[in-house]
Amino acid sequence: MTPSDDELLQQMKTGDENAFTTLYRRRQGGVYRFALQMSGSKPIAEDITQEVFLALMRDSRGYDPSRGSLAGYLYGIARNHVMRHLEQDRFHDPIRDEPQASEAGTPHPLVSPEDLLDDLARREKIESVRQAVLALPARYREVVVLCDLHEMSYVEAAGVIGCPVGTIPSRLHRAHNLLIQKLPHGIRPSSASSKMNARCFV
Amino acid sequence: MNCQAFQSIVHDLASSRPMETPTRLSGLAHAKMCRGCGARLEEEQNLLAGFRAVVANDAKKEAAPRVESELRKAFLRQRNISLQHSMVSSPTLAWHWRRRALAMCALAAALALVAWIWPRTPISRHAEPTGSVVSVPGAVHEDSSRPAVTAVPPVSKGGARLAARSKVSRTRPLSRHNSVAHRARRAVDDSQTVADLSETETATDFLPLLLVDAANEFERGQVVRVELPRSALISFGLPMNEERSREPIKADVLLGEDGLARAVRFIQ
Repeated sequence: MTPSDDELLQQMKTGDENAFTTLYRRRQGGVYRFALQMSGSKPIAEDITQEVFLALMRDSRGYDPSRGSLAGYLYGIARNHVMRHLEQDRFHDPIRDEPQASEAGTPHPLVSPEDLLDDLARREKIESVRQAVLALPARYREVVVLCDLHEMSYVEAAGVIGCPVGTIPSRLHRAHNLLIQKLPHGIRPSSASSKMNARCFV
Repeated sequence: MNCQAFQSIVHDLASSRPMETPTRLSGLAHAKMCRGCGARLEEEQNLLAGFRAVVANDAKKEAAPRVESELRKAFLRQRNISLQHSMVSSPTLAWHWRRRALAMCALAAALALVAWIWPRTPISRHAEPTGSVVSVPGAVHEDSSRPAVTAVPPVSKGGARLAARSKVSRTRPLSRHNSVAHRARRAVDDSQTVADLSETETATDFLPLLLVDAANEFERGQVVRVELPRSALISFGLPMNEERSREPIKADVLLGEDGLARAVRFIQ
């Protein structure tokens, strides 16, 4: 039977290294992706991931199971670190990592030209969405990242951000409006529908 | 459903978040009828499709393995520190208690020394600048705000009896032997430590407040000047001027080392 997060945390408190490793491997991905999607920087995301779990091992007394899940608690710590980073970097021109289009994976050398075009279009779309999210103000960005990219409920997102639940849908609505305005017009119609139309003519 | 209501649910409608079935059906029907809202719904769906693409693309993104190895090292360091702390804490605690015990012993020795030297040293006078509090040497000065508590005479048969006797003869001293009043007066007279009564003041004898047996244990004390309700005179069997019943009366209370009031004398 798979131990719950709370059980692993209890074992971790007694010095069980395996429990810590299990808990880390289970939760680091979400924390890392959240930090990455919020900051747009791999090194920052890794630093934040490290800080989150260091904070957990140093002092986990701040976690109250009655107030939410451990995952939400970790997201909350990550969010605080991200906001601190964003605040620090506000006056600096951020140095972007390698072009993130390459992160979607290099195309396989044996794929057909059509697949290659589809893959390029898909990567272009992903990159557009990513950049549009990163361009949002932080208070809207975090709602989009939590609710749309991490598929959290409004209650969970409100717990992470520390705001009333009713704030989440209103911020999300505003964020989506901003994103629709920001996204290039070619991205808006789904590529699937245009492809279907093209096939209809054939 | 109108366009404004549709705008408020378009996100939930596109993302298939849980919502009431009639609301969903109504929203979808409105999107079919209203061109603008239909387009808005399509944009929202496309946006969510973009989000899904990002989620699928990022699904396998994780922190670098070095982060895990560094965290594990940190965890082991933390655990070792905790173990060392728990191992060290016991002797530290023992040493802490040993130091406290030594301090207590030193304090007890100092008190014993003071108690041994005490009767041999002449009693000195420590009059407060106000002259309201006079103490026997070594006694702790009491706050003048306390007497309201300490000076309340306990009602006891012995006290009442002795008080009655003092009423009979204000000028005649109480029994010279085994009386608190005598001891108090002797302590005062022999050492001349009590606050000098001003020329306009007269005082009664010290009237004992406790039973004689208990009072016999009294050796040293402190005289505290207090103000009492004039009705206190009555409880000691002394006459009270009805016309001045509202005025408080001054009194000197003799406190033992244990803080109990042993005797009281009234000042006029």
